[in-house]
Amino acid sequence: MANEPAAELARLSRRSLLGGVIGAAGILGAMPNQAKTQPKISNVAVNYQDQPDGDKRHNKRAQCHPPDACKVVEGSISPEGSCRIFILKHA
Amino acid sequence: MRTLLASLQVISSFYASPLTVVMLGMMVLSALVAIGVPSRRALSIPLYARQTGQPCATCHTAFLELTPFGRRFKLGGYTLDGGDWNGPPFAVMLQAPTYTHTEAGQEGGAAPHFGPNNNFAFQQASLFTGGRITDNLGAFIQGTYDGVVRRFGWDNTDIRYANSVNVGGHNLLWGITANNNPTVQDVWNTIPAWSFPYISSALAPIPTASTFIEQVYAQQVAGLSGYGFLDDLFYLEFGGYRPLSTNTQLALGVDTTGQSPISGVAPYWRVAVEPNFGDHSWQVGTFGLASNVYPMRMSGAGTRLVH
Repeated sequence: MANEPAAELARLSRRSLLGGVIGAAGILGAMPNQAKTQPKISNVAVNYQDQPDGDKRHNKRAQCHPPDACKVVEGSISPEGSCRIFILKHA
Repeated sequence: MRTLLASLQVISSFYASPLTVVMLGMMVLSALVAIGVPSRRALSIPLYARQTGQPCATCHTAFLELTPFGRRFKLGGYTLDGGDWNGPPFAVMLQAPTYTHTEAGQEGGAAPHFGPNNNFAFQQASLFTGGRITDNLGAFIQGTYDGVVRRFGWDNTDIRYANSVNVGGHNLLWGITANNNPTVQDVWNTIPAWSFPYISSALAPIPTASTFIEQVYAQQVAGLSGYGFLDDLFYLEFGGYRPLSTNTQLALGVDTTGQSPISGVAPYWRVAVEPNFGDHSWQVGTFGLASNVYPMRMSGAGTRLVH
């Protein structure tokens, strides 16, 4: 009943695993890397709104990227806008 | 003092493989680095909080559970930055000392080297690394010393490539994940790898019967899947898992005793819908793994199991 070598043949060896990792890294590294193409967070996920929330407004935020962008949230961001991940900009 | 001595005894008596020595060295080094880092206001998680400049509560609600922001950070390949940290990307987690009392003692000891009841243990020490590697490539990599079985090995690992594209006016966040534990790549905390109880005693008896997707293959397999998240609403993922060879697992610190490895490739799927309403969100979905297995490595036995 027991036939471990047959089962073992169907499993990933260190050599094939390492080869796969190196190959994948090579392919991904060779892909064109445009400046700042990393996915940002959607404004839905941070409950973005165009109005300030009390004193919380985008242009007071540490992540503000003037005039209308955010380092973290995608899309056009109003300087008066607010969201749930507000962090006050240090003076 | 007894706990301290017990912890020192654990550290001095485990099997010192080269992997163990290297990983423990990195753990000590990163602990020293972490101690030397000046404290920051409410930015407590060392690895991703430093990278993003966000406090813990941006990505997490309770311990481990993710917010909508945290889910998208993970689906985006752990690549989002925004912080000003330029140091090494390491974090350390300790589960020590722990004390376990059960209603009745366990005959023969709760585990080798432990008594029947009322056990102190240095349960676990983990070293995390990863985060943003390139604009589109990132990782979550965990190595763990298990103080109960006294072994160091690789733990949950998730390496991703992610990007977003506009398809006919619709936003599609897509990616590829390579990981070593079915469901570890998931972002909704209702799946086996990230569900309650997140931490429990390794010395208390627990039910042993489970389906194969419930952590049975954790760290024993290599998986690859592709996913897409359309308009922040519809999520679809499909991939497969193959078992690692015994030698590979042993080299990575995995206990191979009593395994029932997958035969060939086991398909994995995940479908979810996540509508958001202001500060609230819902998720409805399904996930599964279809695996042919070699029961206890007997290739002439077994059946097809779907979970």
